[in-house]
Amino acid sequence: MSSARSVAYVASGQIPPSPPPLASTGVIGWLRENLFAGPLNTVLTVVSVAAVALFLPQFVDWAFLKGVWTASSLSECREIIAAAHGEGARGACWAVIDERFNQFLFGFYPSDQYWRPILAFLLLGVAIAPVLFDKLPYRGVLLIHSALYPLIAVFLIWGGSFWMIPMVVAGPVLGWALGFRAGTKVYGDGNFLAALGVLVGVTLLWWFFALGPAIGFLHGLIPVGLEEVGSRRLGGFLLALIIGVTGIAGSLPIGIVLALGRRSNMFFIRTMCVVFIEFIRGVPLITLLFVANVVLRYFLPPGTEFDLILRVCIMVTLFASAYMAEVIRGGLAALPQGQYEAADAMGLNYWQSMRLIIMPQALKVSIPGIVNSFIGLFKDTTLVSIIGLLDPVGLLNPIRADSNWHGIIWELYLFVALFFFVFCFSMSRYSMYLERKLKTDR
Amino acid sequence: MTVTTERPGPVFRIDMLWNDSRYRSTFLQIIALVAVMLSVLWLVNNVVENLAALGKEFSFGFMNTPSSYDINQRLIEYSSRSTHSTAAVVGMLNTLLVAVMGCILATVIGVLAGVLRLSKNWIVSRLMTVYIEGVRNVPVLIQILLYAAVFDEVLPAPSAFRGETPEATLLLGSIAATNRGFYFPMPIFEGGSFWVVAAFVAAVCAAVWFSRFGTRRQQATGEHLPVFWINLGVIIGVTLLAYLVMGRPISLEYPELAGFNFKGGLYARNSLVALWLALSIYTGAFIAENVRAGIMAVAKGQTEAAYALGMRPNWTMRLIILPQALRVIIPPLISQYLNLTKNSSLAIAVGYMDVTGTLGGITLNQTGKEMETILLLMVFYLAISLSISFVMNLYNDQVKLIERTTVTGGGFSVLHLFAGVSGKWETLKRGDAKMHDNYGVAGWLNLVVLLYGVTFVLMLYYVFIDDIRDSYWTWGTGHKLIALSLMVLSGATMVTCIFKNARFVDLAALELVVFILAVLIGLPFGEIAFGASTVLVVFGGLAARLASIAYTVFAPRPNVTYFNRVRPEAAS
Amino acid sequence: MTDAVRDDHMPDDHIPDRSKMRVSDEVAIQISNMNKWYGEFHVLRDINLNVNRGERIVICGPSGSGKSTLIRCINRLEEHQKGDIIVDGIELNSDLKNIDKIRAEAGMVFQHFNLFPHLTILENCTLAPIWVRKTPKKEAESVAMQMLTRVKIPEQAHKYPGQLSGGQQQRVAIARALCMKPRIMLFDEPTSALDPEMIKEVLDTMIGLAEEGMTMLVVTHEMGFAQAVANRVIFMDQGQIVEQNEPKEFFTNPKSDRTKLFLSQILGH
Repeated sequence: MSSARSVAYVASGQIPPSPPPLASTGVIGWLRENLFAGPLNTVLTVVSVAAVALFLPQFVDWAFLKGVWTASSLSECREIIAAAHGEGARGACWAVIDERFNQFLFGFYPSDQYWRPILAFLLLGVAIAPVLFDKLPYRGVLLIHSALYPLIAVFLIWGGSFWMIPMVVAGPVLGWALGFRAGTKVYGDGNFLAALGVLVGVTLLWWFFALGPAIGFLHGLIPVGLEEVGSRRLGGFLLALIIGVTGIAGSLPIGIVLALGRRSNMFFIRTMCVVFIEFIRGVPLITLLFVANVVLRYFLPPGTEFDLILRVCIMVTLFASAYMAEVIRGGLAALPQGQYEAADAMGLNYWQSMRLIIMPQALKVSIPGIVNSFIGLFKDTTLVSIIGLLDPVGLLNPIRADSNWHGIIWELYLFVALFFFVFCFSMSRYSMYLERKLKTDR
Repeated sequence: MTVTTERPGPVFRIDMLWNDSRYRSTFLQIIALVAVMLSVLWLVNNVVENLAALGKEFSFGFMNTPSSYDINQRLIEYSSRSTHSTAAVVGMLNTLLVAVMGCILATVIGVLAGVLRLSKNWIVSRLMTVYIEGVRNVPVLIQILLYAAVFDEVLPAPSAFRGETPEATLLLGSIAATNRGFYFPMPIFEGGSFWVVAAFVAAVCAAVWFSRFGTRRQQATGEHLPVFWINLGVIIGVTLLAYLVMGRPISLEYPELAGFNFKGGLYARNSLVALWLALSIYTGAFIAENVRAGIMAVAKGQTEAAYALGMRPNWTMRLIILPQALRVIIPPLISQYLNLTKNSSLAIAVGYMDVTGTLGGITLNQTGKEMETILLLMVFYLAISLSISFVMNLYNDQVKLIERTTVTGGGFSVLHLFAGVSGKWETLKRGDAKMHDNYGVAGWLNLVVLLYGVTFVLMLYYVFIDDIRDSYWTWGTGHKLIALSLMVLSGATMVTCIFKNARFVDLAALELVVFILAVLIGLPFGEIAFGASTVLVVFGGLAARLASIAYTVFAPRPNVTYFNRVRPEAAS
Repeated sequence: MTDAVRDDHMPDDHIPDRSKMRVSDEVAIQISNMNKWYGEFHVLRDINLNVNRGERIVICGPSGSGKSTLIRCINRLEEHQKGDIIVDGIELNSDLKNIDKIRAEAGMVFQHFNLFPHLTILENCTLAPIWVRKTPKKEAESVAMQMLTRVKIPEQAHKYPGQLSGGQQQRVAIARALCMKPRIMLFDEPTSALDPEMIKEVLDTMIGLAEEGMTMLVVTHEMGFAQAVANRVIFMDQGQIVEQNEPKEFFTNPKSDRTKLFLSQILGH
């Protein structure tokens, strides 16, 4: 094409668009590009298709086509399957899930009281909403509900006197009134520390000494309350949720404090935080649960008895907060130094600059990590079965030992696994969505 | 206003504790310290009262009493007459066994799944997504229990392998999977197998040398040698040759049915296999995500730039992508190893006797020593975690160093630890202490720390564990004192060297004196010429101490610490 | 020779009116024998500097000479180890209340703006007045809008910093500092992270401030600005004040060799 003539060129007209060749588009093009690009890819495709073709129909056949949903024992299941599909046919016996469904949900909670955990669960949604969305109507009122929710949930699930709620709240309210309202006259406007000390002191004194008698007295006057349900009767997904939600709600504030402490320039505070975080992260959760189960009582005044579930919740919260602290520390480290300097230069004090400038940004950066550690925490709640609590995993062994259902494995484990999968998978998708959203934010 | 230079400071007032930056942090810390001490006191007091009320005492004496329980899966000699401490060691070894095997398998699974998930092949990447998401989002405990239950209830009994037409057959003709456990073929080493192994090692060394030769050759002449294939041939060929020449000294022992059970081969209980598989598959899913993220973190522009330079895809992978991706992958990989090790404590749920099962399980229940056993358990896991994080810190530091200086190439080599030693002299010669002096310092410190570490561990071994010599417990008070103070001083020097300002000449000198004294009186390592390791303790120890002193005297910038080498540069 | 100090960035439509910039006898900042070290490194050596109210001082010098550190010491972003700093009659020592007071008195503008990316422009401006000065929100907002109008970007008030250009961000940073009603403004290389066409708008804002009689300490390499606005130019090198003079004299007749070398490098081409 090397022509000696003029190089000047003028297009003679517009070329209309035309479709691409068939081999690079449509089904064939897609197949070629995605499944059969090169020999290795072809082999991989064939192997994978073969594996899926072998496994999937068998599974569908076992689980759904030949699955039995109502029966009273495994042998009955087998009879039904044999009758329907011939001798030797294998099918799933989902009847066990059907029969034990309430147990999986509530453990051994009295069945006439099921409305209480259900109500608590619904109220949990109401309590979370104003924290997540800041444009809700009546957000102030809802936030008060969120703050009181732990007490409400405890009251609903464990029962007892209704007076527990106002009397527990009375402690900090009294402390606040004495410390900040009345106290400012005594200590002067600026003496935040003294007022805080009074608040904490009065609250603790109230809780330790006045709480029990006050509840007893008021309950004697006007008995309002719910039937008490002991911790031993809690179980199933209810228990997993109680431990998970407590851990999640508790670990975030403690984690923030630990993360700030670890970045503090006060040597002692920093050392304490580092030691705590590294210690907790260095041991498996199961050892901490052992501590909750058998060791914790040594550290409390003789004669103190408190609930195993509460002890477990405390340990799980401490465990989760160490991990949370590391996630938040990462977020803090991601902030440029300039943000700290600008906040300082404007004259904000430490807590103001943390609350208004640093934390909002650091938390936003670490949201995906926070959700991931929530997922980890929720999965870790299964460990409580090892110290004998009847969470969904803890319920499996008694069921397998039941003579009616002896020999059943896959159905039980798949069901419990599916429950956790649904929760964790949706949370992880949510965290991915947040991550993408944060990336495109600016 | 007059210009004042040195004035007496303002008189101290009580509110300055809160309002003065000089006092506030100290004041707050003292408050915190007092609060912590009070709570510790309260807790200790409670413990004392509780123990007294129960008639117990806090002591570890029970560790030397017979355990009187059996452990069915063990790596060392053990019987029910052995002590509780032996049981604990059996458990620790079992933990380490499943952790190491799990890490290896998880890495293989994870790397494969991670790479396949990035594959352009639609169905393969989808399948890998299903695996990763499915496994990651289900608690590992459920998976462990499921595998164990399936093995126990679904696998055939050993008797099913019997007869003319057995119901079950060996997997791959060599592995028996039964409801009582797995039997693997076991390699048997006979006389002469040493030479096969030696030949293999020699071949590997030759291969390493040859690849270096190939690189040099390439640098000199530009010619590429097919290094990989030649090396592969050499390693296989030489080993095979030695194997044949020595008369096939290595053979496999296959499991055989004898009576009601299998005999021979390597036996692993179902609980171990279930735990191993579940942990590997679970952790593998996380590793796959790390691998994927690492590869994706290398900007696409890097690949394009390499292609534009005419590099082939496999070179691009090896020279451009992997070196960059590894830097991103390795730190989370190490923390996954840590997670796997901690998760191995779930062994207790399936009855595999790891350290949680022995020490934290049966020993705890039998002796009722809850605090002591759980304390030991935690210390064991902490030791593992801390050493893994130590390795990780070393790696991270090294990567940072590589980034800052001109050294390129991927991966981590122990040799990097010493790279700085030679770098030091260059910087000194050039008299340029701006960029490279920290680099040099790091090399020295690495050397010192390593020597200290090795000698310290060996000293511990000689003093407390080795029963050939007189045990520590039989020495006189003077000897005990000297040995103890040596331990404490070396530990302190080492820790100072690692964590604090490296200016520690006084400490190191004091330690040197005690060390020489200890060697002179024959403590704790009796006859000097006793063996290679004794020589290492003495001369390595001397070298480490002299090096640390020399370093302190000659180092140009003594405020450089090991973990925080670079001081914040002065802002302009 | 004055023409040697050309500067393309100076706004040509706005000739600074020096008659408006009056210097009073009142002392605003007094620094005497101030020394500072970073570890072993002596960054500031025997600094003596008196700034009267209304003075506009430009500090220049090679990088690493300590000029940024000097003005960061004035509001305690850095701590000096020896000597005295007195700002508005308040001595800068370890008393946290004094530090707070001085920080409220002295506004600071950074090289990299350091706006808070999670807050809108308006929130950036009202944050400190509300929390530090305890101004009612309404009032703080109206002041902020005034200040934003003054830096000519009131229409951006409800955007986020990420949506603004560099020059606009820096003007917001100036407005943010002004909202605290400072009596002294410290500028730490306010234009060196900006594209040339944006430098002009920032300098224009700064000239406006000078005309209103603001006391200003500016670390900058904009020599045109120094010539037009400053009443004193300070040259620092290796941690000490090498030379200070009126701009005209400083540029036409530098005394020290180091100053000459610096000026020839910065103006030579």
